[in-house]
Amino acid sequence: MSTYGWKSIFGFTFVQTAKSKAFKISSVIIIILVFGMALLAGLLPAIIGGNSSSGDSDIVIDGEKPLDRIYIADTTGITTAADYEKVFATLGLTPVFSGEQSDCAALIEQIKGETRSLLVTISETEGGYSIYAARPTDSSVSSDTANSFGSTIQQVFNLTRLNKEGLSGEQITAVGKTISFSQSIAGEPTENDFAFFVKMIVPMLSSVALFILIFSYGQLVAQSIAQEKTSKVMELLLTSVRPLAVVIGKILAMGSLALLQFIMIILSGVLGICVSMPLTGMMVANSQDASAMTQQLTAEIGKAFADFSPISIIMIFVIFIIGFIFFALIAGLIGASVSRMEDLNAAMQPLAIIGVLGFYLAYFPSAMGGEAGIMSTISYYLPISSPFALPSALLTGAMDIPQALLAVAVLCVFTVLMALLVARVYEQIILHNGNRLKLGDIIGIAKNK
Amino acid sequence: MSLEVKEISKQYGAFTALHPLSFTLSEPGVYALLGTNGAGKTTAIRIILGMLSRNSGEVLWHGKALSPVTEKVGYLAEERGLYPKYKINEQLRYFAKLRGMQKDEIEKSMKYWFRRLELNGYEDKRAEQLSKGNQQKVQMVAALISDPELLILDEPLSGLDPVNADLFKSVIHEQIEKKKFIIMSCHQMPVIEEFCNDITILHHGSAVLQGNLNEIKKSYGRVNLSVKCDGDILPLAAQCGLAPEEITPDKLSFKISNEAQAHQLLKKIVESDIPLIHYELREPTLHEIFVENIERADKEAGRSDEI
Repeated sequence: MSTYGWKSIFGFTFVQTAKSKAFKISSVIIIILVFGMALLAGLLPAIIGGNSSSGDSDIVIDGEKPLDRIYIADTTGITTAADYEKVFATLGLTPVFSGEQSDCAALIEQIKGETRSLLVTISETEGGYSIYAARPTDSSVSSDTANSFGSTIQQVFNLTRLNKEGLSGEQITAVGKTISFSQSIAGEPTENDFAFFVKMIVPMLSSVALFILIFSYGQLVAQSIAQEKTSKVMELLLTSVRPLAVVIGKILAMGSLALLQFIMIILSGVLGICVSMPLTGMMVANSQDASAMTQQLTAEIGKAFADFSPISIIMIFVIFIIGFIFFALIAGLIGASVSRMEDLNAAMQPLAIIGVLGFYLAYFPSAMGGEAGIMSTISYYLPISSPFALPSALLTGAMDIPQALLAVAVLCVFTVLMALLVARVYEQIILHNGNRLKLGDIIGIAKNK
Repeated sequence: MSLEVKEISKQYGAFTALHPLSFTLSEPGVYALLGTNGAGKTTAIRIILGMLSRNSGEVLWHGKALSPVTEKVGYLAEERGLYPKYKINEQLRYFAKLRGMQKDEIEKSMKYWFRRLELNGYEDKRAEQLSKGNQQKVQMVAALISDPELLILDEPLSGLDPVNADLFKSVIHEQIEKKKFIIMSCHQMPVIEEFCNDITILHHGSAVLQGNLNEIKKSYGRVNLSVKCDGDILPLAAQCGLAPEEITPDKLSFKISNEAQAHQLLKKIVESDIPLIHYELREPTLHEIFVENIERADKEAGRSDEI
């Protein structure tokens, strides 16, 4: 069966579709959306981490002095004014210190008449110590500033207390070290928020992106063929080429455009993450925290991509291409089966339902972290879901390369069978005029040919 | 050098869209495929072009199976089709490229045909911005751009104003002069009479009449008599055994069984001193042959549907 002319059809369809407003606008929207989402996702740990760590950070002088006066009342007798003077000297503040319980009420009365003052009281409780910060009634001192000063005083108090208990400087440093907590399933690597983001959100988003691209471009193949058929351009084309060349040229052109947008998505995502890194540093006050977060995110991305062999990356593209061809062949057949454009949407409905079913079959195991068992396995080998499930499984490491190769082989077999069916009936139905052909009619044509 | 269509037929289940059809264009010229709507003309054309598979028969071009993909075949379809949103020059370049033309050939040919069909200035327009007539001209350019040896024109003049119809006719005459093989399907019988040597009349998928148009006409003989006189000649006609088939203010039309009847009527008119204004004895028109053959075929098949 001659496929002469498919290159010209490919070139023309590719150029005309790429020149269309719809493609340009959708590309710009995709780039902006993915870049924005990646940027936001990259900044999210910094936003969450930055806010939660602000209570532990040092006081930041931003322009003017944060306070005019600070009152400290330590009734435990552990610290003295000298312990705080050195710390607050850098801020140009000399703390008003009192060690008497009786002074507390007077100090509270005192700050009531001020606006830029803070009173911090330290007292002993049954189980330990309590630090309390009070702001004036009409205070211009923010809650964050009060927290920062309270946190600094807490650190000074703790350091002095441990010192007085007889601990050496090294011991105090050792005691002060933070202990992080994380959990995982036995035998599986430990994951934190960054790892969760990289290994869970990215594959889920990739399933959604693949579904949208494969489906919308499949729809375009159907639309393009139906338009040529209903506008009678097809008759002119068929004086020069065979119908199979038309469908091959169109599928490959639309597939290339879909691949182009897929690459745009990946590049926009990577660019968004890259841009988010220096922004993380600007957003997080503590340069050490910012650096740590950036390093952690970079490390997780690096670790995630280090898990991919070049084969798995190539496979993701191959799966995308074969998956697209599978759905586009069906869409092309549907486009050829209608004689009026208004029939196309109704004709595409069964494929849309099958596609959505396949997408959810692929999406849920991703969303459940690959814990869906038999559902995952089905989604990997069923041609309606495997194009959306396999890239995600490869990204999360839920599937090894030999398993993935087997799943791709299954998808290839179904795609070849579909191509044979299309080749068998396409010439018969492309010039059909009249009522929309049903599945039974198409099967009948395939049997009778 | 010839086109031979041998016993081509098309069946859709129990329905026969085209019974075995054969005809030959042994030399350049125009062959007419005529028929009522749904007679099988477009099916025959699509089979010749290889768009439709056939149940039997073959189409030979210079003795070999015709492959429009490899041979230069121009086709102007009955139902015109252009991409409404794309520019005219881009569409034509695409169609020409599919015919295997090189870039410089395409540009040269486009330039010629845009000038010849008075389309200059429309190159960068989208098809939807053009009038129906101009869209038809673009379609004609698409059919002729590769300078095909075999040209199939399905209703080439439908929807054209008289000026553009004359323009198209002049282009078709040029193609005849250039010794092209042309198959034309048209419902305008005077156009067929103007261009065609041989015809096939199709009805319900079968050829009801085939042959050389002049010979077909001759075979009918001069059986149409038109007379216009400045007086009543109906009694004279009755004396000759003639009943008028049509009476108009302009003339009386008779169907005669032999030329002697016409001569007898003429003699009686002259003898009666009724002033004779118009007297014409002629062969049947293609329109009359067409209608008569369709009616006869329907009668033979026991059909009573209207044409």
